[in-house]
Amino acid sequence: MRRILPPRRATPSATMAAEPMRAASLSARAAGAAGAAGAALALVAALGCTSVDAVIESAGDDAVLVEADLDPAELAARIDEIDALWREPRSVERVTASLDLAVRSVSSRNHHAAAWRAVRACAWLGRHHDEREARLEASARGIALGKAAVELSRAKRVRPHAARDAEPNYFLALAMGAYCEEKGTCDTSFVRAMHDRASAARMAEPGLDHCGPARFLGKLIVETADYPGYALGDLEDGVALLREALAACPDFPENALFLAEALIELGDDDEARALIERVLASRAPSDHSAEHGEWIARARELAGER
Amino acid sequence: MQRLPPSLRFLAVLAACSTLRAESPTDTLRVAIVQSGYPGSPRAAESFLKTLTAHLEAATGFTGITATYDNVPAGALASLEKAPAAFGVVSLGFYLEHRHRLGLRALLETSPQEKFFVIAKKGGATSLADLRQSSVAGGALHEPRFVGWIVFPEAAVDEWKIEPTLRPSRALRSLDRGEHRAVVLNSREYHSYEALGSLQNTTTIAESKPFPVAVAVAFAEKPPASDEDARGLDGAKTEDDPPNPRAARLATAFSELAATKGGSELLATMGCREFRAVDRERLEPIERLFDAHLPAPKESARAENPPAASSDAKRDDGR
Repeated sequence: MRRILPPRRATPSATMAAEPMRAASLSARAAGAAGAAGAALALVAALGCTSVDAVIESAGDDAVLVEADLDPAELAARIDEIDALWREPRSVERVTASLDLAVRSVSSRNHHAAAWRAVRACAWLGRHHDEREARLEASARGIALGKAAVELSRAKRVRPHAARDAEPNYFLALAMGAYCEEKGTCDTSFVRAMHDRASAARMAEPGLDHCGPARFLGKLIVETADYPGYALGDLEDGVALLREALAACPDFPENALFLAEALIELGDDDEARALIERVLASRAPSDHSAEHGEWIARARELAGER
Repeated sequence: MQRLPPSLRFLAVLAACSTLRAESPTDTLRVAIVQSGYPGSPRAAESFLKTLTAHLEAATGFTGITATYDNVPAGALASLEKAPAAFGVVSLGFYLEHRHRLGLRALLETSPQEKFFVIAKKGGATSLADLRQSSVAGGALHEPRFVGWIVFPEAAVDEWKIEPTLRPSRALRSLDRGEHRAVVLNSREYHSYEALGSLQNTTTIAESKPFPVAVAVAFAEKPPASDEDARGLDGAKTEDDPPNPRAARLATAFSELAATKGGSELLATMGCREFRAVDRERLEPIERLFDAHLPAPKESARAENPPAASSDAKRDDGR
């Protein structure tokens, strides 16, 4: 049994409340099936007392990542296949296949490049699966795997906010967002953890997913601004982040759409209207064509209200 | 993928028999959540309600529970008119305003209690007396009689130009721009915005005593036709009568939420830490004080010609 990370017991509430994601520890345990390769490594989150940990607990054995004993060439081929299955047009079947392959392809030899891809698939399934229970399961699994992926990226980090921190943190934040959206109940520590993960991703690689980290953070702040206890900042703080996303990634329609929505909240209808027009005139990005229809529909809805 | 929940439905097929199954497919158990002035919308609360009803079904053994969420009193009354509820969690102001007509009986109250604060821009109003004929915004102002009669009885709330809102952050921005003279916040709003630094340029000109955020109530099986009818007859509900068994069972489930898996998240979303037995010694004086402001029942007119429910609903909406 080889451990990727030393086991640390989760400390109870005080630490967890301070930073739940960081405080929850990972422990290694034997994978049920050690596999033909032998060196099997299971990463599961130790059970803690926050909602995040409750979600991880619910993921059960699905939260297990097993170290794959593959040579570099095989690993590279696996990553190619995982990405091919992820590529558009996406479907539940193809993304599930991408996920299944990713969880069987995690290796320290390529800096666990498959781990965040598994989280990415879970986050997508958490939003797009046909069944609510399946969406909840997928996003919960994404949270559990995401937390493990973040820990793995930290374990061998040579400098703070290394680029490879970006994807695990970002897709973990997306999985958490999908879970919250579906569940409808997330405590404040959960929302703050989401904010922390997206912030870490923004520091590491702001341009990821068409400036996704700033877009996510801006939207999160705007959406929570009126919820006492959940609010992470003023509406203006959210708008500033959405402006940052749009300035750096001007061609991604969702950046314009989210900023338009926030500006309407602020009462700046003129700029919002111009942005809505921009969304309506946009072309579907090749990697987000499925979502483009939703954005256009929302832009039309907003245009009708102006 | 970036949308949040934001930023909180019940009807169970009835269990007249031991299996708790419905007598018929249309025999359902509905729970109404009414949190006047809270942010969000009935649509945004759908995910929360699914989670809540699933939790309640598991806790009670009832099946097919449905629930509604409303944060504007008129919307809540419309929902209840469309589909009566057996049980509900309603804001204290809504309870006081409609308890007679809807035949509400308080079973539980939320904890912790909350205060209300009136804040003004620094250099602006310094007392409640300064707010006459002034624009005052706040979620609590969806229930102005509760605010004026119970929360700040010393304020002439009926002389305020009230601006009920579901968006406290917007109200604060408007306060800063001078569009409102004051904003009414509850404890959670106050402390949340204080922590964010949003209250730096404001001053607190009034602070209420604490109240339960909400009460869990049983609805009368057949609500009286009007407030006057209910109060005059004095029989729509009595504290000695047991609530209907389904409501009692749901109340038990709510009182156990804090100790059950997933329950604390549901409670947090509803803005509290637990539901506990209602403190009647504290609630009854509040009920009496509120009722003392209501017009007296017209005994003779009611006896001869009871008012219809529809006309009564109009009176409530236009309060």
